[in-house]
Amino acid sequence: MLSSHPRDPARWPRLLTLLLCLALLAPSFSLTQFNPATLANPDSWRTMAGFVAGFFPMALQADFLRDVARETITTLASATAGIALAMLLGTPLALATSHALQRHVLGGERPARLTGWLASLLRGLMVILRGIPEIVWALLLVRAVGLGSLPAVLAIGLAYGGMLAKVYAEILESQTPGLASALHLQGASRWQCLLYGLWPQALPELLSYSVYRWECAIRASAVMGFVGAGGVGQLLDTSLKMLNGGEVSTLLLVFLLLVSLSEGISLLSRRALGSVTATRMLPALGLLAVAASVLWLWPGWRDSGFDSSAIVRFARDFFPPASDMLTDIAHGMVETLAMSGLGSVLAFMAGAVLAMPAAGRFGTAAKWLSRLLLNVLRGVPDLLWASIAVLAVGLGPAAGVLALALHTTGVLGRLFAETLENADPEPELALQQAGAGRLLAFAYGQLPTVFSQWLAYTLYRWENNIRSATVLGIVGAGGLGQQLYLALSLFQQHRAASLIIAMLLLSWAVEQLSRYCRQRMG
Amino acid sequence: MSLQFDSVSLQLGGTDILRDISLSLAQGEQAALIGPSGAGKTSLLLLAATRYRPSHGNLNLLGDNPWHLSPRWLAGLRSRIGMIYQAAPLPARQRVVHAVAAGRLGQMSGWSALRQLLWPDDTAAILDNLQRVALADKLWQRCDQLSGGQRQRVGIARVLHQRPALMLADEPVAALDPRLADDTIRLLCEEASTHQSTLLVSLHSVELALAYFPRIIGVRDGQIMFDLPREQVHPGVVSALYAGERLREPAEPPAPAASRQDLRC
Repeated sequence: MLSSHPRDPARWPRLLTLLLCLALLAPSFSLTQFNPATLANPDSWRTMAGFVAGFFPMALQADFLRDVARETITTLASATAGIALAMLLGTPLALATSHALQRHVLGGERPARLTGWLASLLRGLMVILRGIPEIVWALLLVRAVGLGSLPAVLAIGLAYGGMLAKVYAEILESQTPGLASALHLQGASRWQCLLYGLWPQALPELLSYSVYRWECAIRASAVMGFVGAGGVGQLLDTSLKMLNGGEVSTLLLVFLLLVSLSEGISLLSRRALGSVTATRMLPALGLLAVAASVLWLWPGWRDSGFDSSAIVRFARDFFPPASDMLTDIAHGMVETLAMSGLGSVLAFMAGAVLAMPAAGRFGTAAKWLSRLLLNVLRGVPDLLWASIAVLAVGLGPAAGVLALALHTTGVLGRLFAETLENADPEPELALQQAGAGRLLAFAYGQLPTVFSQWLAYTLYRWENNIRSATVLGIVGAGGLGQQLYLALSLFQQHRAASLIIAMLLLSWAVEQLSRYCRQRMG
Repeated sequence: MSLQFDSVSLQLGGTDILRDISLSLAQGEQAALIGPSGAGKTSLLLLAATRYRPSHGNLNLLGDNPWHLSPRWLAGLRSRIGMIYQAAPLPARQRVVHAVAAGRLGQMSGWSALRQLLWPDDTAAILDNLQRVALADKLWQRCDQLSGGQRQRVGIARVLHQRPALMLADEPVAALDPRLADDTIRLLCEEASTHQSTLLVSLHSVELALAYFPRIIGVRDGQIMFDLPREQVHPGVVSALYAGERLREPAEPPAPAASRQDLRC
């Protein structure tokens, strides 16, 4: 008794989604001038091999290494001082805007209209602070206060201040509310509620997030030299412009070491946060590090001739923003979106392929080799990949696509490998047991479990890449950033203002959209 | 002989799991394995499913020694051996149609199997097998939307779809309520006799074993204690098999969760 073939009720929605994705992706190739055929062309491989060979041997001259060491310390110090500034800025903002400390939440009183308005205003300020990427802040500040590490510190302070304020406020809100409100009902002031009710339970999480941000700040401060804000990035920028491959590879290695060092420290200290002594030691060590950083950076700042009135004058030049460049902005935005989309899709594919050996499916040697590759891809920030890609494939959005794809492959490949390792192996083993080949056993036994996670990671990463894509143009890799860099170089401050507003809108829209999607997905 | 063990021993990590097992089942024969937990029933079944390789002794399955075969022939042999697990090994987000179709992966060409994942069109046989376990209405559902008992029956439908010559089942009804357990064992026995498949099932419940299987094999401490036709299994034999057994709680380690923080910056 054979029944007729029932049809998959989900087949049309699935097919439509697939076609829609392809329809969105297809124009991205022409928009970004990214031609995958060049990758298959042996000539371009030969050019690429010559290009890579130019990076060897590494430069190891003593005076160059001395420069590298000095700038590495400057990079670390800028990141540390920048995070300290961000905490100084973010903490009061968080306390002023967090719902956890508002009277009507604590005690059920009627909300005061004035403080409500004020909080909304501050929240708007936070959106602006974190909506403008730190590298754009640095680009602007270099012009306002001059070259050197000061703009890097200020840029990290401002951008991360907005970010920390938001996350600190959210952390305070996510604590169990009963404690603080019980204190409030006993007549405690809001400061007392904070110190006795919220602080003790929220502290480990607050510290953990701050340490994590410090790790990000090191990566950020390492590339800020590309806009003239000191550190290893500045050396790298010079070496790239002089086409001195040996120096570039030395600096890349330093870069990777710096990133893995900061990752290691961050991981260790976050792991140590469970114990009480560590929770006390960490702020003390942090203060020490900040003091040392400021001492190290101070001579440079003293000589820079910082002038606060110059900032005001500089800021005034931006108003009013130019209103006659809607087409340029629209073009820049579409280019930015296409770059990020294409880069993410390529990274998804490459990440999936590299995750297989990285999860130990093809033996130990393949595992360590692919992990090393993924770590290199991930450790080099996308902005740095972009500056190398510009040399390799020329100015324009194609370099941006390549840069995003390379960096994101490293990030996604590692995450994909982790999901593979954490997934239940039993379904796949059972299928191999029943005579299925390795590929089919994977497709039927493992893929259904990991695929949705992979997609979620990729979407999340795409959101990040939209933000990154707006700034890659600073090194010439297309998108809104390239227009901004051009406008600032030509002293067209009004145009620059409009472009910055466009970046803000894009980043805000992406944030809202992803929040909406996440809420819908539960 | 459909399944033949000649003084087979199994050691895992230096400990003896099974010692000197000799056992044979003719084509179409049906037998139940009983014994206290930890006795080695599962290991015996996994040996027969070629998951483990015996440390000593000879093993013959459906006329071949699996460990003398080339990988390709071994895969061919494995596609004729079906295994039902204590908890059906189904990926959580997979749809039932694919979970059942996976039973025939060993007999399908690679391309058509991959195409079926995107565009399932060979659904009639799958629906048929789901009907046998009373789950026809769940064809397009996702496995994690089913109850534990339903998942188990999907696992059985997969093996029915595979239509193996040797059917193995490791505590297939441990998670089912008594009535459903009864129905499921009856179904397995009927399917096996319809297709002349050999059936070897390990069971917790001695009553179920005695009710449905003509041949009962008692295992304890990695050895076969008795191998008797149903009529000769007296209460004394059974209580000797389980004498002194203590209940043990299985401990499961919690699955590690991937961190999301790595995604930012």
